[in-house]
Amino acid sequence: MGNVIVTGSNRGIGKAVLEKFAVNGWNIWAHGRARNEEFEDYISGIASENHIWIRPVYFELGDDRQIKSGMKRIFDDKEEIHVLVNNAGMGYYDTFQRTPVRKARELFDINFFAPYEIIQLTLRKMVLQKKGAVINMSSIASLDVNEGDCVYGASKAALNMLTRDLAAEVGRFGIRVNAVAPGPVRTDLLENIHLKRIAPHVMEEKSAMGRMGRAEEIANVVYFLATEESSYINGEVIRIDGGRK
Amino acid sequence: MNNKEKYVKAFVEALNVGEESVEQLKYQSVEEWDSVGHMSLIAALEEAFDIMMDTDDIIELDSFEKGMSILSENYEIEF
Repeated sequence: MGNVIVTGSNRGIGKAVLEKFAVNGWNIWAHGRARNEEFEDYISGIASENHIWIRPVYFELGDDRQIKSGMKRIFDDKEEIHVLVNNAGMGYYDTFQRTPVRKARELFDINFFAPYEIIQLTLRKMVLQKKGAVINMSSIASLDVNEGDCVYGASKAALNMLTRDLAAEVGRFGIRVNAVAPGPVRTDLLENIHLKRIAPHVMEEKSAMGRMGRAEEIANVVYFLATEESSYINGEVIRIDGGRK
Repeated sequence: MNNKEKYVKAFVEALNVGEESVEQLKYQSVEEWDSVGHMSLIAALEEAFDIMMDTDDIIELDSFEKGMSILSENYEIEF
């Protein structure tokens, strides 16, 4: 089918995205922060089941040099890069007054500048190919107003505008750039950040469907945006939240 | 193919210009080398020389001649 880079692919939504591409026959560069043998065994199993290759790539998103060397390792494979899924990110939930500037910078480093750099590097390959799709993982926190999401929401809102404006710049190369903005999805990130402060039923009540999302429901939309099925969708931020009420 | 030939080829293919005119090229001196053409050119140079250019170098590369000095000074490519 093609070759895809998935950042933050070792758990939560990223892992569901990896599985979705794998079962559909895509080769994958599976990014994680640090080497993890359990993860490597896992991807080796799915690769063999689906007759594809999955290559682990490790780098810290907060470190420019690590990003560059990690991406260079991917480029050294001399394979075409058809799709980039910028899934990795950092969750955070606290009020503005309790968030020091250094924390806000850290969030922007991980949620905005890291994907920024990864996209910038990957686009140089996609421009030559005259084809590609970039999918950024945003959040409904970037679109809706919630106390405690001020900084996290701002970092994802920055990613939304990057998505929309970049789509206008690179559409002429046959490259599409879109984002998905999931509502609450039961993942480690949600358990660790939000559920310590907000009861699950409060989040569920905000959804018209009365429940949280599942990681695979997000992965399905990411996959759709990666394929020709969405060939005329570009520069969009797509909510996946079960509807608002 | 030597490095100079690879360099010229990248310009010719990325900007879709004739080989005879590349040495005089400057950024935005011809229609083909606009901001879009620049992206194609950088991609072609990175591919040709198997390098990953820094953004500062990408911005500074504003002529055929300047590009050669950037590649030789910062990426150890000899012409």
